[in-house]
Amino acid sequence: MVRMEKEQSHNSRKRHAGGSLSYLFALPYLIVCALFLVFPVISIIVHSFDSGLNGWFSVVCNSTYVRAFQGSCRLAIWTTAEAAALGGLLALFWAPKLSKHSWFLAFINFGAHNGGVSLAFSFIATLGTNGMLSLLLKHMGIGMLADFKLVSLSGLHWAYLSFLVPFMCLIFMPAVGCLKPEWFAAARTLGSGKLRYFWKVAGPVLLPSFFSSTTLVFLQAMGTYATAQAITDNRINLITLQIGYLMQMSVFNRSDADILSVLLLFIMIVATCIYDVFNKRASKWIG
Amino acid sequence: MDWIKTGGSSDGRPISRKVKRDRWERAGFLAVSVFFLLYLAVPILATVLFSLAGKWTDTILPQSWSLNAYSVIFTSDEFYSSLFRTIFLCVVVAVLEVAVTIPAVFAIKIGSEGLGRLIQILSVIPIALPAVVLALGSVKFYGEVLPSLLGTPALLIGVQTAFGLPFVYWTILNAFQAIDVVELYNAARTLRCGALEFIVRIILPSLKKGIVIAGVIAFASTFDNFALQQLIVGASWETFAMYQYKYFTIDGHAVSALSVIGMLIIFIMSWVAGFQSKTKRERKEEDAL
Repeated sequence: MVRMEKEQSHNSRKRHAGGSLSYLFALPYLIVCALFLVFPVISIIVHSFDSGLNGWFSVVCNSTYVRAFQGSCRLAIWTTAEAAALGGLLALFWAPKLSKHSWFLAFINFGAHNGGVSLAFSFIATLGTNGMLSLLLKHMGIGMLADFKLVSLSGLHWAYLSFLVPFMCLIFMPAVGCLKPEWFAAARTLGSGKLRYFWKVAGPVLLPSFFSSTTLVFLQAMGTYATAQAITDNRINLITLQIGYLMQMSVFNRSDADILSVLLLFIMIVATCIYDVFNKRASKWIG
Repeated sequence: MDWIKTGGSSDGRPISRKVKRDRWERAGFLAVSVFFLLYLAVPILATVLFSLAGKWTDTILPQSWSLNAYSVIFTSDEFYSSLFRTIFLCVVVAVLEVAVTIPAVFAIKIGSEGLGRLIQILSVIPIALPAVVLALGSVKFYGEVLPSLLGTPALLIGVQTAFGLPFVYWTILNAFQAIDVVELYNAARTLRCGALEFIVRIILPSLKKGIVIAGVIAFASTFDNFALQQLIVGASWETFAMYQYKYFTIDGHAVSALSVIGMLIIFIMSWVAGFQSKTKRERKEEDAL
């Protein structure tokens, strides 16, 4: 009852404070979003029906596009699972230590933003046919990378991990940082070990944040274009590369890009809704 | 109470097994961390070595060393043009993003919850929207509505601004949590301070750190957003990423030199953002350590 009264009082202060002036201040933000986000998306959706439902059927039944979706989903799920596991572990370990080791935060910040052409070349210089690591292992007589091809889904997956793992670590760390040391102390006084504490206390608290972070990583993996384009030069069949190719190079099938974009958007929206559900649950603890 | 005096465990297990388990756990986490750091560092090292290599075919280290790649880059007018264009793009986008986000977050704080919900939904759209899809949509839409805008830096700036808004929005929103905007605004209004004056004289100085972090994040995310730059302007307004991509099939050493320069810029931006996000007290503690 007291909480409701406080909220009502806060809301009435807000209404008294801002009123219709608030819409004026939000106008630039709304205009930018409308002009450069909403209208382009609506345009794609509208244009995807230019050829009617026949256009949709031909795209959905086109084996090249189906394989592109399969490839993208496989790569995204594979890299997301690994990035979530490794990034989550790193966040658990490093979150309590950041005050003394802030260099790690700078490093993963850099790793999360380091993508595109620079990253692609780094991996070619490392794992390519004459890459540094490939030559090192060859000279040591280790044939681990003898059959390895960077221009393949497995090759791409190593490149994706180098920015997805730091990204997962970066977005999951604030949630881990909200675990109170008193909870562990209280669990210990009741005879609980570390494993039991994670299973019964920390785990349920962190799980929604973990899943919401994992969903964001999936969105990032699914939508990646630059790294894949630079490494593979359209030699691997991924949906983002197909859209880019149809947009730039294709003469006859440009309208397919709209339909593929809408389909990709649909997958991303589903993932975003899942993210929203878990994020709301996580905010209960994280605030 | 012996377990308190001896430091033993409350559940009666001997302390040495717990210490061993903790050590194994720490060793495991350290091993994972070292693997991860090597995973990030080795490609960077390979790039740096390749940029300094004269001849490197099938040996572990380069057979000869040379700064030729850097001299080719630093004596190229195209390099400077592309770099200045990119810096111009990043600065303009960062300023625009911060400039539209601060009033919007202020509006959320003093306005209705409906407005807050709308802005929150809009801030999630770029997360669900791959850059390539947004580029396609922008080209389609403006190809019909305003064809003169196609292929121009103005369109790229607009699209990039909208695309980077979520990160700036969340950063600014977090920064606003530290101040009670409603109370401050009501107090300012009793002193006949207008809303605009309130933002300029109260909000902006209070959010200096948050603004710097948001600006740096905006800069870094714009710098190497290859997808939007390639698909919206392409070679007609060559940015750093496009210049780098052009060299991909021409000269590997030049690409590696450009990659080193690009990574250095991103690293500096990441370090600045991390440094700014620490409080003065944390910085002093770290200096003391």
